[in-house]
Amino acid sequence: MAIRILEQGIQAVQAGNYEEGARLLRIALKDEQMPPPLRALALMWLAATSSDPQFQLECYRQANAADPTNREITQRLAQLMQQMPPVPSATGTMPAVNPNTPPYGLSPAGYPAPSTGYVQQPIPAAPPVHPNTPPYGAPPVNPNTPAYGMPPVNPNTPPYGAPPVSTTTGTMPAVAPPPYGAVALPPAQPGALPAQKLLIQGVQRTVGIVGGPNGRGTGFFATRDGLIATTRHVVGGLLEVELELLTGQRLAGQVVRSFPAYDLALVQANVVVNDLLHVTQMPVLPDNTPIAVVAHRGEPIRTQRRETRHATAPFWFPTTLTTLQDAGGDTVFDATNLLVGIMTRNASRSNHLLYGLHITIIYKAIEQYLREMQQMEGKGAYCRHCGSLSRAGLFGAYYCETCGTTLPASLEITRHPLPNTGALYGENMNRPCPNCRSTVGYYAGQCLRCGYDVSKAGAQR
Amino acid sequence: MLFSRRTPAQGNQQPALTDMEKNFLAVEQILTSIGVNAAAARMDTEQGYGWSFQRGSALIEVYIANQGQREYLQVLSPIIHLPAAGLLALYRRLLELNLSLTNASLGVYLDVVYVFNERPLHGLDAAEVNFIITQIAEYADDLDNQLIQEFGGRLYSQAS
Repeated sequence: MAIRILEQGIQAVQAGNYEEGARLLRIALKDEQMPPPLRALALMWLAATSSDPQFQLECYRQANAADPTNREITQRLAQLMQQMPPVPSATGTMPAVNPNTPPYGLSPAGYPAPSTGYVQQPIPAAPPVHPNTPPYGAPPVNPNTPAYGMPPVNPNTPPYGAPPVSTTTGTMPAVAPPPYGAVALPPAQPGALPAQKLLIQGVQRTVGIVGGPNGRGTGFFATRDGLIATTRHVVGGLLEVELELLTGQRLAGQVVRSFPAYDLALVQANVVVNDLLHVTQMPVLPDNTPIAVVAHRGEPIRTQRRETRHATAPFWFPTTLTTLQDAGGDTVFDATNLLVGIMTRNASRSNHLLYGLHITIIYKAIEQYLREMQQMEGKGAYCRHCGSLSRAGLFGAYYCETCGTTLPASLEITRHPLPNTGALYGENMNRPCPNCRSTVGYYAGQCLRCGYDVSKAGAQR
Repeated sequence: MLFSRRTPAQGNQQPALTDMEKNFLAVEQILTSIGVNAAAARMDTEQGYGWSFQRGSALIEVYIANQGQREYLQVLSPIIHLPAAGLLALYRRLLELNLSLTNASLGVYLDVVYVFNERPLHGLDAAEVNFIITQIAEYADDLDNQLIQEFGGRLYSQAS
């Protein structure tokens, strides 16, 4: 939760809403479980919300204390101290960040341990913590702030969790991949990111998905906290898959959400990703656009967006491909090397030409997933049957409210009828059936329980 | 025409039985051979013929039904009345069970869940009918308490 609030605070500051940004950042800072690098980051952004040099100095001092390894903070702190008279103490104008202060009506920060009956969702990873790379780019300069040597703002810095804004223009994806690497983060301070979390440096054009029901597949890192997008066809109904980086390194991935309507699945890896792929900002892919399809550890295939008169949803784009090198999820780039989507195994009804899924719908789905996680405070249980996040656990219930399947955490326990789950399953919002008095609802005028035809009964009266 | 004349013997015969009537007699014979009092088990049905009897703790209903040009033997057992709530999960479970049952399926008619088997009458023998009835009764015995315990509802033919 604190990470999400931090993200919102940063976005508010980026949008120029300094007051709201400061408020959110202060709320986020109340979380005493927040990893020190993130705390430092929050303090840096908090500093940017005020024009008061002493406030900024104090923010940077606290940021430096939280993460002494961050050179950016050290440099800025030094610049501020050179241009400011010495501050007598660390008290003063610093806003209250007492971790014991109850938050403003929010639930406890962080993701509380799920109660029984849930599949535990992974804790959203922190943004990159490379000591030389502030994850969100440098905090923007408040226009009212005296320029104490603060670096200029990078307007293209992508917000956390959002697709990076494309800045590059280039050629089709190179056959030879750029240098990649994944290094384990040093176990820095207590409370920092878990030691097993990997920092992935360099752009990963693809991630391999191994162990799926339809063979190997491909995906890509969509967020810096290790959320991978691939197709539902690749992961099927699995809860866990194995991931393969371009170095050949293998790590575990947990399927956290899928969208069968889009043939899209999201897999969470326990990593921090430094560099994301640059993403097109065009909402649709024009006809005949040249594209390159890249399977994990495969050769890029050059093709184009097929022109068709067949009307499909705008998030599907037809291609001239009939086969893929793996089960799907291959990244698709346009001629300027921007990610435009992923390939699926879905074909036209009239021929075998395959369709891709546009990047816009992928990020919309990711936003939906993050919103659901926030609303459910991290307690949503992934239903592998329908792909949704179920809130059944919040009601102590056993079954997914979308498809009715028994959730994994409830499989091995003795289940019995529960009296107060009508709201969860939408069974308390209907008028009682005249025949059986059940309020479960109606379909085509017939009671879902006893089949009583309400429309005919009404006509007979 | 010589060959179309009735012989005296033909003229004395009872009216020919319809296919359904022949099948009725055949099924009664089979039921009797497997220990069912067929005469006592007969039910009044709108169409075709039906029998109802107990096999173990399960209530078994047998019907002869004509669909299209074929007659079918239907064996079914009502197991539970649907509960008033929690139907999504129950319906899902019934569909999942449907996929796992052998030579039987689950269905809902009005507010009752049935376990059910149907096969063409042609070529049916007593051993096969006995096997079908035994299997349906076993499924009914296994599933009724299991479903009631998890989803609620009421056992068929049980007051509460």
